[in-house]
Amino acid sequence: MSFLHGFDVAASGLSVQRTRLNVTASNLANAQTTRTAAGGPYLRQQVVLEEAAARFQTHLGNASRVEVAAVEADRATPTRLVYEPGHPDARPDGFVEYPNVDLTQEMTDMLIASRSYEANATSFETLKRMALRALSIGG
Amino acid sequence: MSIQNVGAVARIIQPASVEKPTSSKSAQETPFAQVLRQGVSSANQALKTADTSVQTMVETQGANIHETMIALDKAEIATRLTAKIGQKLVQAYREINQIQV
Repeated sequence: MSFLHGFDVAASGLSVQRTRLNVTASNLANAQTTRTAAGGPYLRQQVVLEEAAARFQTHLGNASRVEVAAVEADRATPTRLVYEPGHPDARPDGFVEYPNVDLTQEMTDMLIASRSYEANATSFETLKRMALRALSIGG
Repeated sequence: MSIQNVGAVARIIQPASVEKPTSSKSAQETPFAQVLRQGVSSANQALKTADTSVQTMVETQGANIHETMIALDKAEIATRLTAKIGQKLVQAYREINQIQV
């Protein structure tokens, strides 16, 4: 397993955490969106990560990259119902369906994504420092 | 240490963005010279990738900044390794030269 593959692994982590942060930002921006192209309110999006299939298993050894498997809507959490008969998107019974976006959950996700990004960046810098240190062996 | 290896060293010290001359390869290459040539060409490849990724970053206005930085760091390490190998070769050649006949 060479240093260059270690850099690729760290790079995949950085990309994935940035995608998670983008999805969280999208959830926060659309927290009150009652109208979407598919009809119905905006549904909270979730990112599913998977360990990437190592195409060159002999080279990578046990260092595997990470990939975004899917960005899926969360249909299990129920949407919020608010009684607003005057709202343009109100249902016949007067309730408006608001997205199932919980602010605390999204802020926590954002914090986790940001710290994971920093952790991946630190692992990359440490790998680079190790490589440079190895170069200075022997003067 | 044969003269062909010193020729390989001279090609390393040139700027790595210059295309590696293939016409001056001698017929018999020692295994170490082959390893050295592979090392230089992989460092060259890393530098080309870094150039391309910087260009992409400018065009897409910084969409994948971390990938560009990582490509640049890879190129830096590959170049430093190649330069270090060159230094070691020259050092060894000088020491051998100083052996009194």
